[in-house]
Amino acid sequence: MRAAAAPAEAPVRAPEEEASSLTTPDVPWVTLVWNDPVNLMSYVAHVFRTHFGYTRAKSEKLMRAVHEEGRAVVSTGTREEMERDTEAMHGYGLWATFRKDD
Amino acid sequence: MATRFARSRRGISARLDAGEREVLRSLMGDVAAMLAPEDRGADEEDPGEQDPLEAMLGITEEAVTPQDPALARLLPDASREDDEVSAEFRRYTEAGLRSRKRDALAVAMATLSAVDEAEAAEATAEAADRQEGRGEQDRRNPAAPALALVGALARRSGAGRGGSGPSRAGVLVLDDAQATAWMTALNDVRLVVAERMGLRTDEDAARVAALASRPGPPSDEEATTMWLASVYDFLTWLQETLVGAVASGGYR
Repeated sequence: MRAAAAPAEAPVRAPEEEASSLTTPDVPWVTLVWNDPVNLMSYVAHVFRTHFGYTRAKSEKLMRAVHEEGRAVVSTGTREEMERDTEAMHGYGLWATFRKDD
Repeated sequence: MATRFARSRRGISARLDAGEREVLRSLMGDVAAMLAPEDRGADEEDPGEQDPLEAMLGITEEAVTPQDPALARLLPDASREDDEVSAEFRRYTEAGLRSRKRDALAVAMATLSAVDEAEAAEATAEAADRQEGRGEQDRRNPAAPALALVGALARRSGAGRGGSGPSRAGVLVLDDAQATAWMTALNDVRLVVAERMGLRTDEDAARVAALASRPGPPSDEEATTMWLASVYDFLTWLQETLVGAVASGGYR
């Protein structure tokens, strides 16, 4: 998992910064997580924190977006990265898809 | 009755009685069986045997969306727009996903069995203690020395796991890796139970919740749904307390 893989002494970039730096025209793919009535809000936020290494605030904001808007873009990057994120979300039992951003 | 998952110095623990452990293990076993790789060898007419290299790389030759909606929920399509993208993704990821989910279920089931074994060992030790106490009056019982030895051994192995404090019977203690496996295992079981009782939208959830407070005797179908709903509520409660206990350890 990404968050755990970073060495403790390495300078840590803010997740927001990382996400926005990836939103460039050459990496126009996104991973979406869709709402369902089963996955617990606490569990979804936990998965976002664990898998993406997002802050508590960002994880909860994304979780609420999934719940209230029916879906949310949880990561942005190359197609291969989005395939890996989608596969990981399926491993956690979250309902995820990936697509080219538009 | 179960107690919530909580973090302690020994790990993340909860108390589950024998009946609760049995229900959990049986549901986890059902979901693991659903996730077993599909047996394609049975079809003798099929000329296309799975390429051994592809099998080794975890590639599924003809991966299609599962017919069973509960299994489709565990192994969902990765694209909403493009069936070919979904099929391609499934070909390369489904076998690995099935096996990781089965691994997590197996870890969780093994921790439940370990609680059963610890409880049985404790019961044996108690029986041997009683036998030992009677030994003075009943030296003719040939089983007495053997029982006493079993009891002593059980006590010694019990001491290795944390000493002779209050009874550890029925207590599940998980390390971090086991707790992670439990979270995904419980979640997958909840997804399957929810699908079996037709819980697909937030409105369905409200309808199922309302069944319990509806007056009058339920129909057979309603009774089944109500039983599933009570199991589902138990699983949800366990999952909620497990996530809380894991999160209380902080994030790196």
